[in-house]
Amino acid sequence: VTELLPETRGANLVVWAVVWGCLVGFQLLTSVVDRLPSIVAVVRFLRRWWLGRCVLLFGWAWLGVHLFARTSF
Amino acid sequence: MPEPGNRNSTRAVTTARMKVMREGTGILCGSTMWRGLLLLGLFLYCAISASFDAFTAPMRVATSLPIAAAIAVAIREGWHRRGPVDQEPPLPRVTPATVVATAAWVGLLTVTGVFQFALYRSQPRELYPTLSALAGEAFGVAPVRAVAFAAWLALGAYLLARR
Repeated sequence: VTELLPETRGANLVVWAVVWGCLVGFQLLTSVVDRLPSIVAVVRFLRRWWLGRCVLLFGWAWLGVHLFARTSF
Repeated sequence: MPEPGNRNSTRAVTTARMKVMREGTGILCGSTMWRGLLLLGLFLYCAISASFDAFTAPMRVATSLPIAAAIAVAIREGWHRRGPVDQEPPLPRVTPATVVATAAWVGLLTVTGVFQFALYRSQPRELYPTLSALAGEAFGVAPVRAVAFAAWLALGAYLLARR
């Protein structure tokens, strides 16, 4: 997969913008269309099972460590 | 026919029960005063945490403490046990739209994860910016770091809060 990455910083930033645009755009779409589950519905769905709860807790902890604590990752 | 005194006490008990039902009984719920104190404490914690430089040892400690607290709360609430931990509303009927949307969420989150991992495996970091590299640039300003830290704490509280 790494060989498929663009070779310039600008292009990678554009890909990041597209990825986040898709995530936010789909979330907005779910708020317009009732039948589509939003990310909140996905979280509530995951909270029903202990494995889902572990995934949520780990994901949250990883996000904090990733954004604030670690040096390279 | 009940006496007026009994009626008043019954009403008081009912009001108290409704208050408990409205406010919840979880560790993250409580009276307005406790909520205010909790918010003040969180504000101070975020301000102190933001005074540390990003990716330093004090910041690692400041990040580790909420994670340890969240794990303790999760264990206390029985998150490690099978089955739901609280009264969740019944699942909506599964429709083709639900399946497609769920698959779309999984796909989008997978693409995000794969892209992030591919960037992480590539060097130099200036050309291949990971999420934390981008965040590190934005978090150079202390107020931005404090807001981001508060948002992360709020997300954790939302995940742990009883419904």
